[in-house]
Amino acid sequence: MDTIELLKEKEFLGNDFLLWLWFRSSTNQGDILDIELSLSKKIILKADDQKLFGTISCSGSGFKEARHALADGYKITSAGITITLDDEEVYSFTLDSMCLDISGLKCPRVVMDDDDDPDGLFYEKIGLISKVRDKVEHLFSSFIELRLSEDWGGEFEVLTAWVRAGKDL
Amino acid sequence: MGLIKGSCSITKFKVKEGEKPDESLAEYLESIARLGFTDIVENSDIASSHGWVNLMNNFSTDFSDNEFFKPPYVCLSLRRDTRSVPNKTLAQQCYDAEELIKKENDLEFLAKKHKKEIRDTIFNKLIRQAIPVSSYYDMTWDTENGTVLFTGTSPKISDMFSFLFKETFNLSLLPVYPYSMACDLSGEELIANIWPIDSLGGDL
Repeated sequence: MDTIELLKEKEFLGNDFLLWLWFRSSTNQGDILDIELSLSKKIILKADDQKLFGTISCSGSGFKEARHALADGYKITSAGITITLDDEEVYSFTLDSMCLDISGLKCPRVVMDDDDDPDGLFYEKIGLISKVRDKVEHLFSSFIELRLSEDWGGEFEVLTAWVRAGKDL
Repeated sequence: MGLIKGSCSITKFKVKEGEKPDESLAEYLESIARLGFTDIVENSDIASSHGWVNLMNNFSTDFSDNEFFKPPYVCLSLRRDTRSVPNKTLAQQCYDAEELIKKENDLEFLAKKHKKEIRDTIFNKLIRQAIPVSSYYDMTWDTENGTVLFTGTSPKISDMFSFLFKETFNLSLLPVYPYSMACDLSGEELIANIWPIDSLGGDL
């Protein structure tokens, strides 16, 4: 199996991770591993079933349309996310399910005098980018550990009830 | 949008396990300079060109001051210039040329082969006149832990980058994606037993 086939076959790990993040953040469990997280901007869902069609893009007002689509069996392929680290550093970006690529990343502003230390800006920015990427991977690791643990049964029940409740919104 | 200014996009790679950088800075400098960006030759019919440029100054391909090495990072930008001919412009000029030939030779139709020759000639003429469009993608390679961050997210650009990286540093890059991360964390055997959430409990 080549990398592209493997990526497609196992994309559900990324889909389910984004679903879990959304579930946690919207049931006031957004404070995951000391990271304040919320879904913002836009969520994109894709049909993963022959009975369903196309792509749904949804933003604002509690993502009601996206919740309906989720309950109908659509998969989340990308989500706009805002995370706050160390109480004050706010990062916003879009996370995709296939490779956990980050796009449109906005980091806290770096105020620095280039004349004093031309490399300072580079190290500061790389530090911020690496930090947010590491946090995403840390969250993903926590999700995988939970999925493989005995606690997953309880989490799964609450999560699926939350997904079903999207039909009644 | 790059690593240093404004917002950016990030794809992560890892240097393939077992492969370690074993060349000196001077040897890297030679490889980077050799594969540095070169302009598309004016009046040629070459459609694209790509290569390394300085990350801190994208207009420069001078790497002699070792600015590409900020310990422990090797940092460079991939510049890609492309020239293209708008489809409508090509179609219009082909149409005009075909009509002229038909009129001059009193023909009702042109053979498919002849039409293709006209199209190729016009395309080659127009591509020489087209102004290249430049795109820049930044990368940092942490030489201590083998992590590579790259600001291109399309598969085509990622492939081009991986190939250029291999050619420059003689190291293979592996993309980091959920399945590979999960396997690194818990082992392939355990991860193989994870099924999509909706297939566990029937209809959600």
